[in-house]
Amino acid sequence: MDETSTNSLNTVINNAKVEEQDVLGTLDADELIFYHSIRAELDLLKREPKLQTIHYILDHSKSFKL
Amino acid sequence: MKSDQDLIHLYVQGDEAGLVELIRRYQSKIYTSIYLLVKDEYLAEDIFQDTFIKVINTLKAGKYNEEGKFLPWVTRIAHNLVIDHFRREKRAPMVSNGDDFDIFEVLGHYDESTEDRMVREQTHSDLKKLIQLLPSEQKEVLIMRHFGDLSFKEIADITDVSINTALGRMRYALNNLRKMMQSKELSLKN
Repeated sequence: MDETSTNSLNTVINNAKVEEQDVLGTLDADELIFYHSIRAELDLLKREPKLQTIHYILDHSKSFKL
Repeated sequence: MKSDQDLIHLYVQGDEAGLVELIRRYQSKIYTSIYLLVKDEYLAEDIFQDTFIKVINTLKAGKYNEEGKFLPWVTRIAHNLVIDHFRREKRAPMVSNGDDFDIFEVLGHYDESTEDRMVREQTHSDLKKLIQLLPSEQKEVLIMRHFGDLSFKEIADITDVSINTALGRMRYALNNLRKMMQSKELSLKN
């Protein structure tokens, strides 16, 4: 493989690494703006389990035997 | 503030306060994620309970992998229990899965009475209903990302896909939500 081919191959590999880093990063600006615009509304959907369920779990833990 | 690992050690050594704090810290994230997937309050309570019973059994048996993070581990357990439930119920998604999902197929399902109801309620968007219209994979990533606070890498590990796929599904989810919201705005104005 001559030097030109090696340089081309390295360019391809480096571009692929940059693309991977971009993907591993975050959403693009437009997507982020939209996401932030609905965050407050999404947060309104948060729920909590019933206290009874929590107590059941803790009771299970206290009575657990291997 | 004690780290999750400290709380786990405390619990494994016999102090229930460790478990109490871990549940307090993550109960909303885990429960909300389950609830939005199964869409049934009582079922969500059952799955949430089963999730933490598995957590307790694993911790007490000394089988917890300390290298992993607590929240993604619990989320994986919850996710698998939700999948098990759907397999048992053989419940099919409302819309087609996959990246070739066409949002306008869903929008076409709105009949006149649904649109009249939307106009009458004067809502800009009912986000919860729109999220439920997303394909299950996209909904799942959105829920884990926003409500579970998981990274795309953690989501990818839990759902057994690549990071690219997890991020792609999030993008599709957001774009589809935006299209649905824009369409609802148009229908309200007309």
